[in-house]
Amino acid sequence: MRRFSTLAMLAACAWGADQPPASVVQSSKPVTAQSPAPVAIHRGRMVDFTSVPAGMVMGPTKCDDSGAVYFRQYKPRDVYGAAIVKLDPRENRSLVINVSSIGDSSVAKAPTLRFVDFTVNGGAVYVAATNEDAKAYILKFSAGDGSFQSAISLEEKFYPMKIAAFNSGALLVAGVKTTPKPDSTSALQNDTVLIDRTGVIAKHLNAGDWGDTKGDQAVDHERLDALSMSLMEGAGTSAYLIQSSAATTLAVVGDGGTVEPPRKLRSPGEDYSAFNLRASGTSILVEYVKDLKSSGTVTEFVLYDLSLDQPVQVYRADADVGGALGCYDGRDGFTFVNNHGGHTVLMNGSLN
Amino acid sequence: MKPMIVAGAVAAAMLTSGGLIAQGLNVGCPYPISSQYECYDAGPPVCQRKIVLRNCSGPLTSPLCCDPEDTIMEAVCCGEETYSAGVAGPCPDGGGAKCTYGATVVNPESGKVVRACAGAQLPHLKTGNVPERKGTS
Repeated sequence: MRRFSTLAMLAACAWGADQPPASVVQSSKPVTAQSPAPVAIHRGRMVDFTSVPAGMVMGPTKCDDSGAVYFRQYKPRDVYGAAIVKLDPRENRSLVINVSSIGDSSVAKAPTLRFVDFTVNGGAVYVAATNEDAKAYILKFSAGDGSFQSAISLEEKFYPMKIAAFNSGALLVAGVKTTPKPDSTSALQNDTVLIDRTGVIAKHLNAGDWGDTKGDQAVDHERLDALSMSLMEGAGTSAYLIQSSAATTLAVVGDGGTVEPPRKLRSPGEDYSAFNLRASGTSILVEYVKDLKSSGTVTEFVLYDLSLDQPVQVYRADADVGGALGCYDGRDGFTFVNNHGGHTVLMNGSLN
Repeated sequence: MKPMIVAGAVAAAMLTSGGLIAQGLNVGCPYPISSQYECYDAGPPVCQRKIVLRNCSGPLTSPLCCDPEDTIMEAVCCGEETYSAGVAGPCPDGGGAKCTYGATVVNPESGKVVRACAGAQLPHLKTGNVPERKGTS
């Protein structure tokens, strides 16, 4: 099984034996009907980042091949205004990536440039950013030191909301675009673009409807809601897009722009919502939360194999381990972002 | 009319077709419920769904945003229990009637996962779909 591109876990951790490959399901029945009983994730070591105050973790979180975790802390009233924080457990080092490091005068930082979504690949952090003055960009930062590297200015009237990176350096960006209506308002349409490694928009893909809840009948706020709450992650030559609504839908997009037909994933239950995703070339790990709109306390991790028809493993963290999932090593190692003693920590979890 | 359940607390409020009526709501926050159901830009909106507030160990840090059409809502309280699952919350763009897009937020210590409101309208995309506000300030 190929490694999960966004993980590769902490080098100091010794993880256990291989797990059998998981499965992807094309049924909307609950995963519990045919999947194994949840396997417990036990608490491991903890790395304390004293320079990073405790806080709420906003999705998405990302993980690079060295096991460093990237996330944003929730910023009330300015959700997308939060900076990206990198935690590297190997060196116990943290790094902040924010707007202030952008030195390109062609990028309009005023009045307010916000990071809508981000992803990590190949030593770079790619950020989908928008400005209140209607400009939108894909920004590239160094994952090593957080320095700004380059910017791609996106088409007018296109608002990026999700971004994924392929190993080739190409990017997949999902968002919405507007078209004027006679009543002087605008209609929204989903739009997904493939940006090649040179920064040129190579294709508009017919993959946008994966985020659409009611097809042509979808009203704008539903479209935005579905898209903003969806999940997107690149791994190797593919990007994986998950829409979590009544049924979890997976779409796979190749780095050449091919779009596979969407499939339904078997979720743990109708009241579970997918809210975190880790992907490799052969499997995906989806974190579900139960009753997101009422309690949101019970989470399960379901591992799907992309070539089979059943999820093969379900994980549930012990009470003393957890937080926001940062990394998964594809076998039995997990890293969570958590708080401890007023600081942010990375907490390992394993099946052993 | 439907009773509103406040998790871990002694709250009850009633939803009506015309608006939200709070009765003796006490979620551990010192603020009266009447001040919670307000949005930034105007007064209390009309809520047509149950809103669940969880324990707040401190005062609300911001007023709530009610959503007439049951999309993303959130409550923000200070203290350890910062977020209310379920919802209603501030609309960062200054409006309060509708949150149309957001993000999931994890409280690592409690393990709670909620949907946070990120905005009511895209900054430069006027959707023309924001519902009429019925609240008054």
